[in-house]
Amino acid sequence: MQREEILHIFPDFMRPRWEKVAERAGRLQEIRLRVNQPVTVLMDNRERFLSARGELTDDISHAVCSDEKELEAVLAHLCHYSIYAFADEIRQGFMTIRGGHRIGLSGQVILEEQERIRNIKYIRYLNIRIAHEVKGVSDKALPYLYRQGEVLNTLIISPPGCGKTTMLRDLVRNFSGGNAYGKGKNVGLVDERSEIAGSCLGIPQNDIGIRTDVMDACPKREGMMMLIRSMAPDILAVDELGSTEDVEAMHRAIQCGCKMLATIHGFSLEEVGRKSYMKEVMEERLFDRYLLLGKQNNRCVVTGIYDRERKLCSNLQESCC
Amino acid sequence: MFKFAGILLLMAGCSGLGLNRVMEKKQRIRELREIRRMIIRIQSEMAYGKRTLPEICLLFGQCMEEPYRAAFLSIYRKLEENDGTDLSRIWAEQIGECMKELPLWEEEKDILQNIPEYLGILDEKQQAADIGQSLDFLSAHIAKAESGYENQARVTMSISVMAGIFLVILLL
Repeated sequence: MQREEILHIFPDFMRPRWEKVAERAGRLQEIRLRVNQPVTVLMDNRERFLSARGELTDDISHAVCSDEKELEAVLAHLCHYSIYAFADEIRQGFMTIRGGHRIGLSGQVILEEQERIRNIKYIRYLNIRIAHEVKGVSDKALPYLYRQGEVLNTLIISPPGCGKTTMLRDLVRNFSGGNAYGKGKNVGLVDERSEIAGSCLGIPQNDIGIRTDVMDACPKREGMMMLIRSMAPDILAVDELGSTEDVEAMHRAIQCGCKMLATIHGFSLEEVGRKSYMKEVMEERLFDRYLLLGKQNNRCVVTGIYDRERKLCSNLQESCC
Repeated sequence: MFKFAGILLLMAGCSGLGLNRVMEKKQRIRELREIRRMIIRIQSEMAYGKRTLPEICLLFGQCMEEPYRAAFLSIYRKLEENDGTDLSRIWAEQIGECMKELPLWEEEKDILQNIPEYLGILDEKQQAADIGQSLDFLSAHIAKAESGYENQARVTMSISVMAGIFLVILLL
């Protein structure tokens, strides 16, 4: 990742302060700006404070604080001075910027009738999550995800922060572009939270392959059906199955002849099987492969690949992010 | 012979001056209409297209006539460079430069120049409505300029020709 990508997040008057941090862009994970609070930076899994001279420090007394003007300037800059164009994203509490980096937003919520969120005003908390695209993380798993050149229905199971989205993105890229195990396929990607393709103004910021069509910022259920109707995908990819509606839409997609590539929060196959909306899926053996991710020695790894009978095919222990 | 040529040149010069004034008034009306058209287009692109301002600048840079075309393209390029410069500064520089030579009053130039000051509203329809606040003012100016144009043009041309004749008589 380029240092410019980090510097481009901030307006000109703040850039000198971020020069030194941007030099280490590759190791940067998160920047948090909170009104009248010290600026924190997460780098190499370690939280530190930003000093006025742009250095990272553990001493909170040297930390620089963000004020509301700075936060407003950053937000206006990130929105290309067109905050109205990002109203839908702001309503959801996050937006994706060039480079696929995700900006979490928090402030005062404006409610409309029936307690639906109309918008957020006084945005005073920003969480800038730096995207790290890691190409090739799925390469070692690929032989297990094909049968006679055809992609198998695959479910990626992972606890939070273990590279679930990174793995999904790389699999989409591999399935779409083709590889030693199968030809390239048309992939329909429902990117509900703009995390996989990292689309900014409709343009994917991450490499998601040459045959991938993205339905960006669209709820999974609607997105899957829309893609099937409009783009005739061979494979449908979705992130974080989380409701009965998602599972129903997935069922319909499989009935339409699409292969599924999905992710779900979970620590084990058993735990996923206990989720009410997943019980039927697991009993019907809808997925041919389960890719289990986890952490070992502070590294995210593929802890196992299981077949539809939930028998272990491989325990790669391969780093996945 | 020289006298005759002098008379002709004097008359042509005075009439030319008058014609220039008339053309300026005509151009002012044209420019005011153009600014109104731009503001309405910005409003619709914001409210219905949900385009960001840089996108609108690119669009205008592709479809507008000079001098606006170059100015909008320049704003778009500078914003794309993303050197962190504030939009209102870039906008004021470029739009100010392109409108410098136009026969518009300062308050009319300000309408387009001050657009960034209206930005920052979360709701796209409200934002578009805010941008359009100056439309009434602009329409009033256009109506006034149009209604007076015919008479003013006639008076200006008459005065300039009369001035020519007066000068000729004076110098003979």
